Amino acid sequence: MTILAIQKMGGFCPAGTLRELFLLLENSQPLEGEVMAGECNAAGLKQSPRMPSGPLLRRVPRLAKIALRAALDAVDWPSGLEALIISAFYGSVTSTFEFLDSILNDGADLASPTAFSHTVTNMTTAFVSQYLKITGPCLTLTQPLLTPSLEAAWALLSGGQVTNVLWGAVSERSSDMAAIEKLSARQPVTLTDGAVFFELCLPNPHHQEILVEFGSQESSGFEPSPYGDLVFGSGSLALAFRLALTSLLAEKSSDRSLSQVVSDGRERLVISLSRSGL
Amino acid sequence: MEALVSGIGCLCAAGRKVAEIWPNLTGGLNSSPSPPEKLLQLARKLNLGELTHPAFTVPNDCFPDGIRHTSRDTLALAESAAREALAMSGLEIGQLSDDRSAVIVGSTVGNALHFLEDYAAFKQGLASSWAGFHDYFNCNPAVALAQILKIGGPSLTVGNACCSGSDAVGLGLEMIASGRCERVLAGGADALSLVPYIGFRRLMIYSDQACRPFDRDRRGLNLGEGAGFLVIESARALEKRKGRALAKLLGYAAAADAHHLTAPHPEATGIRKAIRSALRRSGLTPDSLAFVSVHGTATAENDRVEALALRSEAPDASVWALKGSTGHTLGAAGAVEAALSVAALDYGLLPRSYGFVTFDPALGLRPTELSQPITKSAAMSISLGFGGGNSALVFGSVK
Repeated sequence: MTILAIQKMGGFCPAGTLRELFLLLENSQPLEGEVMAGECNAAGLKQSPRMPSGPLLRRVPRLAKIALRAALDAVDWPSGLEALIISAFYGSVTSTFEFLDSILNDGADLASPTAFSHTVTNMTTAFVSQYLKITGPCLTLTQPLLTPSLEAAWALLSGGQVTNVLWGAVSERSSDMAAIEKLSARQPVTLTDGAVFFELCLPNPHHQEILVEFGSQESSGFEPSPYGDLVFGSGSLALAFRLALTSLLAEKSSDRSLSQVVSDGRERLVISLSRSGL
Repeated sequence: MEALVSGIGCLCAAGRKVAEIWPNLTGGLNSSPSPPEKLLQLARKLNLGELTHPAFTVPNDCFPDGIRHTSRDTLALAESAAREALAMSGLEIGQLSDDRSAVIVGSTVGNALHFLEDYAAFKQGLASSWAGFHDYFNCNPAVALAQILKIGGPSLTVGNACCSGSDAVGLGLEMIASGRCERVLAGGADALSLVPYIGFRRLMIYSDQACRPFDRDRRGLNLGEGAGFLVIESARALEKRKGRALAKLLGYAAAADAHHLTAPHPEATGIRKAIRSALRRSGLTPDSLAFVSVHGTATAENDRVEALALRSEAPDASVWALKGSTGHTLGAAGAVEAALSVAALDYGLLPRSYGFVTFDPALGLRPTELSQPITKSAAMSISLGFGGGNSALVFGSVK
């Protein structure tokens, strides 16, 4: 197992910020399926005073805005962050389908170049790095798993490239994707809107910290993903949100022996509190 | 932990294997781009218009049953180059089944965007095949390659635009250096897809002629397709099995421009930082470099920014621009260029840069015009990508 320390975390989803969601769950508020399966609305995206407005958000994919809102919930700014790693699987799905629509509707000579540039899977990473001024390694991993991006974070930290990494998962809802899944009778991935971020570093034996342990993922190859839970859908975002909520629980816990497994059947992560700060 | 390269594999328009590519690059038998006919048939079928821009393609028989433009194209290219790299290293399938052996694959939009025909049918309510969608929804070339080649440790798919391949190799180095892995199969792959072919044309950076990196009369890029892979091992693991090293992988650095979503920083801040950091991590100075394998897409802005960075950070190194022989293979590019940089160090010979004819005084940089012997012991390969990504890899000779 490989271990990293969580310094800060935050997120954004249709129910609000990570801590707003945590409060809803802690107070046993019933979560309407439509709320969690809905979209991060535009007003909610702008609610953070640190969220930019105007020209900077023009021509930016919606997924990138969601990611920035979540990143700003997670970290102080200016951030002092040295690296950024995002698990983004499909990238901006809506932009991809928009570009395909543009090709089919407008032809090869008039298809939208802006939509094309938004299909590139690292656009979200690029936008967050641009706004937070992260000028070190900024990497995007495109697979429906969290562990590979954690491995990448660990490699950069342990190899001495950087001393901290902003790591996260993002996804967005796509009506086209949902329709295709329904028609093809495919087991749905149930993507929801949202993003969650963590500031990670190597564990410090002199500090009490929230630790996340992870190992190799199980192979999934081209096989369909299993159903996720009904709250967050499936995919790496779902697991990342559960990781964040469990970490918030750990943050509040006085149980020094806490060790909580977070799993979606394909990957297994363990949240614990380090004892060395006692 | 010292990291050594024990095998390389490459498949591109210049040849199906390193042993085929190398004589072509050094012997004057250059590949030339042509309109990608199979792709253009699809464009005509979908009434998208008449397209003629050339691309560097690999033969159809590089794909299963000679059938191309399916969602499995990229994986087929990756498997071919990965098997070549493993064979060269002397490792057999099954020898990487432990948790300390990793596979890292860089790929971009060509990774999964091969379902345009299915999507058109879906939009018309006529969809009958869902295979393309299925593969898009489940695409994960690193895990797929791990299953095929029985690799038991971490499987990472890197989607970092045109830096994907070099970042995959760099992460491989970090996994060895950190002690996480003993062996990493790292590289990149991308098959030609109609979607980026149309996209790059619409960005007005696609040349209607063969591309001419760093040339005064350059008119933009040509897309290509291919794959490149390296087997990277810890010195301890290679020594234990008495394997042969082709080169040392001395350093990697990545740096973001944090400037613009599609344009490089005009002052080349990211790529300069990546070059400096990679050299520092390698314990080398710029004058140690025999050559720099450049990104060299032949677009006006890429070549200008890259020339600016090289004039200040590695002014004495020879410059090798490969894309006049391979086209821009997107997520594969950094890995193809890294693999062939290792070949150059191993053979002690730097090929000419095809496509370059006329010196551009505005760039002040002249790529290799003839094959030339390598007299220094280190080389760098650099990549720049959409989103402001910049990567640099440093290799050292073992001779």
